Amino acid sequence: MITIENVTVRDGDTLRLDDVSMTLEKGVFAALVGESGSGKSTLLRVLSGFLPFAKGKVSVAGISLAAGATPEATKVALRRACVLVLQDANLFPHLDVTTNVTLALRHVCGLGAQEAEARAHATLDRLGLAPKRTAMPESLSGGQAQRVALARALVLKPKVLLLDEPTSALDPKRKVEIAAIFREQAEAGTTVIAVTHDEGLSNAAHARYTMAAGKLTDA
Amino acid sequence: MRSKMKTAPRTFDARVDRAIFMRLRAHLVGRGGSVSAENDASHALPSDTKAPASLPCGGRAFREWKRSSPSTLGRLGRVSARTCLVALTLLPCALVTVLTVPARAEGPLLVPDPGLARISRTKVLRWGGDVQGGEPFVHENAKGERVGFEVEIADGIAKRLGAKAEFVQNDWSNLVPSLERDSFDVVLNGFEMTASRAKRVLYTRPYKTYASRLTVRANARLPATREGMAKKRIGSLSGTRSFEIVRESGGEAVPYEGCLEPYIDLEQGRIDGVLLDDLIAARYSVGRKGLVVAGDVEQGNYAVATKRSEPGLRDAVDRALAEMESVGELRKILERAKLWEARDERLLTWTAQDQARALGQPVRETESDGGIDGGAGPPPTISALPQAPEADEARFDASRFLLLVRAALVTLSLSLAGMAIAAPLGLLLACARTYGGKTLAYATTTYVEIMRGTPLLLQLYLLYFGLAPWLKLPAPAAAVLALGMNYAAYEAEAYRAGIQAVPHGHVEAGLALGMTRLRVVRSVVIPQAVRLALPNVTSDFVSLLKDSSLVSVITVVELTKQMSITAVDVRAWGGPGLACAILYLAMSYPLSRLARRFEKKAKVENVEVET
Repeated sequence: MITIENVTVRDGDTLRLDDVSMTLEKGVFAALVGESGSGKSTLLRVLSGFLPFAKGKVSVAGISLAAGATPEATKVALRRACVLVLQDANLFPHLDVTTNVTLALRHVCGLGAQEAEARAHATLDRLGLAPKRTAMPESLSGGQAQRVALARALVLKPKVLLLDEPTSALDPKRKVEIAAIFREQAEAGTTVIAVTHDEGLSNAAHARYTMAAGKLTDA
Repeated sequence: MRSKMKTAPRTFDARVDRAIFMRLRAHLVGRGGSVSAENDASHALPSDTKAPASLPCGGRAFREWKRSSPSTLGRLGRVSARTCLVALTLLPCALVTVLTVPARAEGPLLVPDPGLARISRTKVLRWGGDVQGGEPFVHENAKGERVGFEVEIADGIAKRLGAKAEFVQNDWSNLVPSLERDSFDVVLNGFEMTASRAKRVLYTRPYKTYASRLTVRANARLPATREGMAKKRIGSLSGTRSFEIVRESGGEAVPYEGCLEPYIDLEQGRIDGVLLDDLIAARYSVGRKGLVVAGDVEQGNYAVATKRSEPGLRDAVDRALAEMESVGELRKILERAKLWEARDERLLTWTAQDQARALGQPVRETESDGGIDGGAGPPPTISALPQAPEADEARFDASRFLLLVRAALVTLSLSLAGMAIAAPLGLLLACARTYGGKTLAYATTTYVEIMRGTPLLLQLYLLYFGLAPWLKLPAPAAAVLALGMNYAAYEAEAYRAGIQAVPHGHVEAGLALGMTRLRVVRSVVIPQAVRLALPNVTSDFVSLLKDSSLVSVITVVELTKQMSITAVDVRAWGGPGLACAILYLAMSYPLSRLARRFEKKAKVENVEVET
């Protein structure tokens, strides 16, 4: 599902990713750990087409990326299959929780208003956000906002789910619940990569990768 | 007869310098016209009759008057009417007080005429006019000098008063209030003699006869009568007698500030006719395709006007004019300007009765008409005419206030319509500049800089008059378009700031969910940018509301214009100005409050976004 071959990312003189190679099968839940600045988030951004790479080859959900700039159309196609959840929730502050979740469903997946809403509500309920369906983002706590951000991605049922510190703002009980949801998602066929510092989450993963100074040191 | 003659010298002595009086007496006695002399005495001004027989005169009286005179208030300086207007909206109450003072300071009766005293002290006769009135009255030549037949007349009068003539530029429709606040000594600028103005100023004898001439399009067949103008759109200069005639005849009087514009609009078909003085019509309607003279509606006269508190100055100027007429100087001036006509001969035999008729005042039927000598001798004086009582019938009442309210609605609808163009166009410009690539960004930047870097007034003129040969926009449409296009530039910047303030994370989050860039801009960025820009856009709307007063230059009568029309009608700026200010505030204050509320809300949301 995901193949990374000898990918190098430069930022001026600094090597953000140094000859990274990795393969992940469909339905795998992988945790990516390592110190801050070791290149974990950079790898996620390369996989979702936000960051061009200098050398190497990438293939995600059947879409190939080459070194250098990626055409806009390829990026859009890539992101339909492979959704990235950023570390900050970045909820759209002018839309309520349900509309935050339905926006991509309607405009990316082309769902009708009612169907999109039904799916959004199901996902929100699963993440324990049923009482917050009509809340505005400004009224949510950090943990609730993070879960809405997850709901926004999960509701799209992507082939690949890329998560940047998805549990950083959650309390311990929620962390366990969310880890279980990722596992479920993987078992249903989604390939999940979670960048995390959370032991519980990395323990729940099928595989664990460690990065240091832009290199993959341990699989 | 003789005894009556004797009362006159004493009163004149009190107010006028002796030399002038002696010349006058010689004048009267010389021609043996005892009738005129009698008139002078029997029609003596109220102030004359009150003067005691033993008044101090000469230099000592002058010095005393100088010490005690309260009428130096007007010495505040020559502030233009527009500045006056600004001050009016800022300090309406204070100004009301100031404005009412000159009315009360009706000349110290027991001292020499303040106007004459001032002129003999400064040796300058300040005469007010508007160069925008243009040729042939007063205008500027290529060297920047003021020329025109009135310049020569002013020089002739000043010379006879032992002074130098000095022109003071003043907005024509505000000549009277400016005269009263002593921006100048006399009005001399195609200032028609009318009954209503005679309640506010003192008139000398006329120096030129004119006719209100109706010009129409050749195919229009509009009769040159008051009935013919009824319910028609007739252009004229605002504040003129011709403008008044249009209103009296039930036509829609379209106000202009310059002489050329009404004829342009007539040619373009925006109005049905132009009623203006024949002197103007002859010069400014020529060369315009398809315009013909329908005829003259009314005949009238131009005269010099002074303050009501300065009858001595009026008399002196009148005598100067009389002399210019009798020695043929006036005729020469008018002939040089190619303005002398047969009808102007009448001015040479002008009598007190003529003066009374010209000002709509009762004429004594028992007395024979003035020119008893068949116009052979020098013209009689009209110095001591009965004066109209102070203006009191034209008040700023509820019906006039209602006119202002109606004009406020015009202002509001113009502003709303202008904003309805400015807001979406501004957003479009902001998007084009941010997302449109280099060419579009360059084009929109140019647009924004041009619109913000040139005066709205100029844009209005260009849009309405400049484009007229190719695009005939009706005045309200041109006004809305100009306001909309101008403010779009400001809104574009407000929205651009809003777009830039949307956190980049939101854009990335949208893209990460698989949305296209266009979709992210539409659904994520713009809704937020609009919210962020809302406080600025709302306060811009307040500015637009105020700037909409500029559209009066293209004949749209909105609140400020209606205020100045009303002020001229009721001859007071205080009441209409205050009412106008209140109406503007009533419209703008709620908007300012709204802007503040949006601002608070945006702040709250932004704090949430940041954390």
